[in-house]
Amino acid sequence: MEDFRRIVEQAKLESKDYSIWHVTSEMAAQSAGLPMRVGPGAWSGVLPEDEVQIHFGDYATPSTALLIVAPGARALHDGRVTLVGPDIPRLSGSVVPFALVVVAWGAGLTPDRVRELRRGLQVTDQIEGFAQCSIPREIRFTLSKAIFKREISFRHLGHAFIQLFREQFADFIQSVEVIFLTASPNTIIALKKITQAIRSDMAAALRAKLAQRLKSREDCEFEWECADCEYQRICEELRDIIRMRKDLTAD
Amino acid sequence: MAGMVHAQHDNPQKFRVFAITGKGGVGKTTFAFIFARALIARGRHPLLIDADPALSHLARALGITPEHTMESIRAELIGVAARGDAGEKAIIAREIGSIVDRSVVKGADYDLLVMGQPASAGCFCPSNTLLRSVIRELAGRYDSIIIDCEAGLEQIHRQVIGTVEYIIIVTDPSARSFATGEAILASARRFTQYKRAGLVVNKVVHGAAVKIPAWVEKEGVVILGELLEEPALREHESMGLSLTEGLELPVLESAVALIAEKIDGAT
Repeated sequence: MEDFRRIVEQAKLESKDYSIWHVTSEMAAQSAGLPMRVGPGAWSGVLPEDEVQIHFGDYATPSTALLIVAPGARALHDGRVTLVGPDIPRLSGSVVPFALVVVAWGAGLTPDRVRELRRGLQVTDQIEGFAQCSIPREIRFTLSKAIFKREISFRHLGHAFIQLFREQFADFIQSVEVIFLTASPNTIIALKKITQAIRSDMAAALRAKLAQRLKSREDCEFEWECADCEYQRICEELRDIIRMRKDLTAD
Repeated sequence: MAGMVHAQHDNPQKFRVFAITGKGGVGKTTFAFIFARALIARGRHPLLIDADPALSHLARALGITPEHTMESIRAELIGVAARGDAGEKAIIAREIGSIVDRSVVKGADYDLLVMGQPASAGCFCPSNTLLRSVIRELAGRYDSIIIDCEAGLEQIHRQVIGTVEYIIIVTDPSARSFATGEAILASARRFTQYKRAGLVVNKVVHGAAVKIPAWVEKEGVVILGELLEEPALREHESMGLSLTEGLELPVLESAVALIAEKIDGAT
């Protein structure tokens, strides 16, 4: 969290070009006034190349999307949308470096719920004209020409993310803040390092969980080979005996 | 072998399930037997599990030929499953506990359960699941369980018992034997949730220094002791006699008693 804030503050100092908006709870409860539809199924989620106005990241331009869980309610500004770098109407060129950071906090956040929150970054069909590209280990977005013509701003996109997070995760988050960066590629690369560290931690946790599951397996240790095993029927009968015994023990 | 050269102190914690592991030929079975006697002397009534699938060394060393092994019961179970007769299945589901119980050779001081040699071609994992749960129930009735293992612990975890509390790695002073011990520990970490591991260096030649490799300390393995080579034991074994037939090893027994005390805590 401190690393992230330090990187953002440094970027603000270097860029001297930043904007801050505030999305109140009342505003976030609806998408009225936004130049695009927001919510599940808002659009197809598919944006053909000839309809793209802006690429947020490509093979040569860094991009990332990051969810950060704040250590407490005071560690984030609920409803705040920050942009470091030029806003969409001022973006020159069709490819820009890009980072989307959602900071969230909730009293009921558990590791499983944090994983669920991370999936909230995958907006796919939920923000009209703002498409997500599925590239392994890379997160890129594109913006449609049609939505660009409606004079969309990062204020609107931030509003959309806050609205979506509040709607989808109302049970376990109380505060959401969104930060966009379209400033220097180096800032995005620094943020990507944080993403990679989080991903490594998640992978290690997953590996540990799988190892634990393997240690405590009660049923079949060679399940992945069973599909080709000629004795599957016998194993089914054996499972039946196990069930019978469990029923007897339960009685 | 005879006599303990040195010993460190372990926590006086009551461990219940011991796995005796190590490279072939280092004296695991003899150690398991003498360790069992040491626990008996401390008032315990252990269940010995002979888990060597190739040859039932412990049963042989005790001069016991069991009528049934867990593998013969497993084969019977698989036979019932293969026939798929609902009535037979219901009977075996009801009786499997007492079938396993009857396969235990009961002695005055200790009981013995022999795993035996697998005879079936498939893995039949659910049969392991079922038998493991029966062994778990059975083992719950004992204050100590000593498992005489083959080298690795994967098979023990899969077919015998899911919980091993104390792993005793028996080695001789050779580098290869220590390397096997290290590999066993890695396997134990993967397949069990053991609480403690200890090292017993067996067959130490009197006067020779034993070089304990660095991994022992690094991995937090407790050095339980070094046991000197016992020519009388070798002679006894070469005559094909069991450990229970007129063999007296007072020095070795008192050395292993110290190991038991170290593991079990002072009585």
